Order: sequence, then C-alpha cells, then structure tokens
Amino acid sequence: MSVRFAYPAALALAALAVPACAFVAVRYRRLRDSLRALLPAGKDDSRGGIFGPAIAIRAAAWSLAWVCLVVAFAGPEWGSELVGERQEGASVVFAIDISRSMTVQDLRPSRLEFAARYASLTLDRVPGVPAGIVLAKGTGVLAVPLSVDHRAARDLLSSLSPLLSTSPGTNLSSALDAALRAFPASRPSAGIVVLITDGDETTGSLADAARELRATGRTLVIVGVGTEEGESIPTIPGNADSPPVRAVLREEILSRAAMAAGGRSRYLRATDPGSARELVDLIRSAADSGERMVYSPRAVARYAEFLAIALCLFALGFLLGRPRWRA
Amino acid sequence: MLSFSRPSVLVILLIAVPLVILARARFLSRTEFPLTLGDWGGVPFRWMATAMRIAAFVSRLAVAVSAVSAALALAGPVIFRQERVYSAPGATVVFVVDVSPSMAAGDMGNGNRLDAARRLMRAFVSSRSGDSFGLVALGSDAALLVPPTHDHAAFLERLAALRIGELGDGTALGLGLAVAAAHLQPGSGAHVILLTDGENNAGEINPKTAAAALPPRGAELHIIGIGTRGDVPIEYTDPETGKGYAGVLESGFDEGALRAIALSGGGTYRAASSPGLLEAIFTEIGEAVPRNPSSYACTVEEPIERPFIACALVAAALAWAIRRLAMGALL
Repeated sequence: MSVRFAYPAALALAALAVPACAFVAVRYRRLRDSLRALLPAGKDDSRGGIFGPAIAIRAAAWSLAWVCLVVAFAGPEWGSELVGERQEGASVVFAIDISRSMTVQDLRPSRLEFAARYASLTLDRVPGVPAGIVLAKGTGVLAVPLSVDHRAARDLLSSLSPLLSTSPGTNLSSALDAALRAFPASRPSAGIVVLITDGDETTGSLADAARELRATGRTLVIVGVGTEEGESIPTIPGNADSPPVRAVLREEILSRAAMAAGGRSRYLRATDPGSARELVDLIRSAADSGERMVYSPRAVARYAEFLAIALCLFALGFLLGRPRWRA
Repeated sequence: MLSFSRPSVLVILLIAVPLVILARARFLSRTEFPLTLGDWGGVPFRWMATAMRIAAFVSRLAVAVSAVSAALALAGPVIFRQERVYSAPGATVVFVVDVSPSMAAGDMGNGNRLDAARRLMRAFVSSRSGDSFGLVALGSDAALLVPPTHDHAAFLERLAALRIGELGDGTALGLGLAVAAAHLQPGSGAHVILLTDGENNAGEINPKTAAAALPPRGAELHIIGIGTRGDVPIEYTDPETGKGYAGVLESGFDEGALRAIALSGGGTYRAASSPGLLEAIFTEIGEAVPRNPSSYACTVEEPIERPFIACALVAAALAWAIRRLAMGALL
C-alpha cells in the first residue's frame, strides 16, 4: 500500500508543533523555578506535580491533533475504488518531446523528425479520431487542442523543432499533465496519450505522472525514439567546445513508467517492426467500440481518518489535560 | 448546493452544544468558592482585566470555530454539479476575426471593436457546451489559431491572447475565409462567422472565391461588419515594434463589398454599429446554429473539505497564539 498526498507541500505546517511544544516546555520550567524560589528552603515543590502532567498531556495531545489536521489538509490517499464512466469513441493526444536531445541523429534524419513522421503516419490511419498535440520541453504546452481536423496537427508536426519552446530542460510529467487536461469533460471518450520521447528527463518524474494518469483511467503509450548507444551533444547549446553529454534512449525508465500507468498502457520502441501497427490498432479498437461503461481505479481520499483522530486527540487533551488538585 | 457525504458525523456538533451549555452553567465543574484578595478598603484584586477577558473570549471562540470546522470537514462536505455530456459531435462554428489595426477603434462601448467582438464570442461559446469552435485570425496574412475543437478552455485561452496587429496591418479577407474552409470537415454543417471592419486589401485570394468554397463543404457563412462610420478615436500598440499609436480614424468601409462576399458564399451580411446591435446579431446567429441535442446530464460530486480544514488550522493556530503569547497561559 502506497500513500500519496495531493498537496505534499502542506505537510511542512506540521513542523510548527515542535517550536510550540518547546515554547510551552520552556515557559513551564521558568514558572516551576519561580514557584520553587518562593517555597521555604528544603521544602520540595509538590505543586509542580499538579500542573506538570496536565501541561504535558495537553501539549502532546494537541500537538498530535495539529499534526493530524495538517496531514488531513495535505490530502492523503491510499487504496483504490472503481469509478464508472460512460465513454464513446476515442481521443488521442500526442505528447512529443522536442528537447535538444531529440535532435540527435542516431535515427535518420533525426529523432525529432522520426517522431514527427511516426505521429503523422499514425494520424493518417485514424481519420475521424480527435487528435491533439502537446509539446514537451520545459513545461508541457498544449499546442493543438483535440480536433478531428488533423491538418492542423500535421502542419505543426512538419515544423517541430526545439526552438518552438524557449523553456530549458525536459519535464515529461508536466507534458503528461498537459495532455490529460486536453480531454474535455463534456466528451467522455477513451483517452489515449501517446508520449514520443527518448526518455531524457531533466526535471519531474515520469513514473509519478504515469501513476497519476492511471487514476484518470486514460491509456498511456510511450514510444521510445533513439538508440541505446545514442550520440553526444554539447552541454551548452551552440557551443561545440563545451563538454559533451551522451543522449541515449532510456528504455528502462520508459517501460517502467508505462507499466506504472497500468491498464492497456504499454511501451513501444519506434524502430521495432509492427510498433506503429500496434498503436494504430489500439486507437482504432477504442474508437470503434460503441457507447460503454468503463471502470477505472481511483485513489481513495483518506482525510476523514486523520480528522477523526485529530478531534479525538483534541477532546482527550481537553479532558485529561487538567490539573488534578489534591487535598 | 452544499451537502454532506457523512451527515451522521454532524451528531458530534449536536452533542457539543449541550456540553458547552452545561459547562457554561458550571454543571460539569467542581464546586468552587471564589476568594478575592485585596487590601482593607483598597481596590480589590481583579482576576482578569478587560483586555484579558476579550482575549480569553476570542481564544475560546477560535477553539470552537476550529473544532466545528474540523467536524464539518469530517462530515464530508460536497457540492453536486450537473454537467452536460455530449455523445454526438454537434455543430461546428469557425470564427474568422479581423485583427487589423482598425479593430482598435473605440466606437463599440467599453473597449475597442475587437474587445466587443471577443466579449460576445466568449459568451456565445460558453452558452454552447456541446459544439466545437475554431478560430482564424486575419491581418495582412491569415492563420488558423485553433482548429475546430470541443476543448472550449483552449479556445477561450487563445481568444483572450488575440492581439490587434499580430498578423500585420492589412485585411486579407479572402485568405481568412480560405483558411477556415480548408479546416472544415466536408458535410460537418459548419458555420463560418467573419467579424471585420474593413475591405479586402491584402492576400492573394479573392474573398468571393474563398466564400464560394464554403457551400460545397456544407458550411454557412455569416459576415458581421463591426463599427460606426465617421471619425472614431483609435489607440493601439504595434506588437512587432512595440510602438504606440493614438489618434482619430476616419472609419468607413464598403458594405456593398461585404454583402457581395456573403452572397458568393450563400450567406448573410449584418452590420453592427453598436454593442447592442452586435449582441442582437449574435443572438440571431445562435438561433440559426442548431444546438447539440445528443446530451445527458451527469451529476458530478465535488468534495470541498479543504477550506473547512484550512479554517480549522487557522483558528487553532490563532487560539494557541492568543492563549500562549498574549495571555501567557500554559493550559
């Protein structure tokens, strides 16, 4: 069972409990020392025993209640439940990596042109299926929204270049996010995201994004372009003197991400014979199936458990954290 | 409307109310005999000054708000939304928008001609969730900015980013119509709406020829002439040079030419010399474009517990700060 948080940054608020407890402890010690000073010499402070446990219980219970509240706020999720959706037809979004490593020419004429042709030929074989394009370089950007007008997509594919985006690096997870947002809620269809990349990722985590994609019920097909030997490119663009870096096809990362996406998701190597046919068949089979109910696993929100514990701890601190006067 | 997925949890609140009342009535407390110390004849010792009393009240209130918010969040607050879901493709509408500098003329109420057109296009698109929309911009050149799509968010985003002068300072009406025609699916029953304030003065394609290409593709043409005649104030910044222009434009265009283009495309021409007229024209066109009948309502449950948890956190932090920092209390 893996636990994930919808808003992990919020967990930082839990740390506030530590200085709060320290503040109370210091304050209590000072008060106890002041009381001791008032007592006659040699007489022990019996009243420290009245407040000490009460303060300790209340501080501990309320600090834990605070931590539980923060955890609930961070949106914990684990386990899954099946959620049904009525779907009809299919839609496909191509997320194409246009980073600099895609200009490597280990596939002729280059990885990027190979990827563009691969996507364009796939489009030719699935007329009538709404298709869109997301550009993956830096942050993923929706360049062509879902449309049955494939001409617009083809026009863009014919002019792909790293220069289309000035964002540095490659964030494939951001590209997947952009692709998932491209499916309009008013048209429930079998959404297929085709990620064409060499797997060279500089920021983000493709595997995490693939796991999130699984929860949406979409299918992820990762098409790997390039070779395992790869080629060297200069670290600094346009500077041939800068130290070279080897751009290779990272198949292991890509297949692991496709597996994490679950369902009918898969990894295909662009140069494998029949890989394009497999992709086309997958899109066609989804497009040709009529209206249907599709059940996909969704993560279960678990904030309620933490809220219940927080309320119990609050009540516990309130009831037990009181001074017990002795006769 | 606000609803709760675990309404039984709200019983906590019902239990809390009598508990608070009993506590206020000192029913749950031990018997106490308050003893006030003070000098004989002097001012007696006061347990709490007014400021402290207020602070104590606010801190208690914050604790109560925190607990109530947490209990409400635990009850699973949700909002149910009805969303229309479509299975049939619906109508296709392609807007061909003139973005030549004259569209910056300020004779259409608040904002310029493009702003007025943009406002009504946005309203038109938002009111037709089952249809697909495309966007073509024209200046001295023309370009497809958004292919006909059901992704209204993408369409509206690009529409909002549309800038006067981004395609040069001419008016290539023919090119704009040709680009729209090239991106229409044959037999899709599309509607092409051309919004312009000028005459064709750029581009290699005759507007009448481009308009005539629409009926064979099953498309209907609507031309809207925007703007008044005479001197109108104009102000715009050239996106290429960044240079600002302001002055008076002698507005006027050949309505006959626009009518002839509409006639060639088997469509209609309407003049919009005021925002009210433009709105009426959009309403008329809306009636001419059939609505997507193939739809069903889908109830979407949207959880909204986070604002309640946030409120609980803020109130708890406030109570702690008041009691420990301002009042100096330890319990």
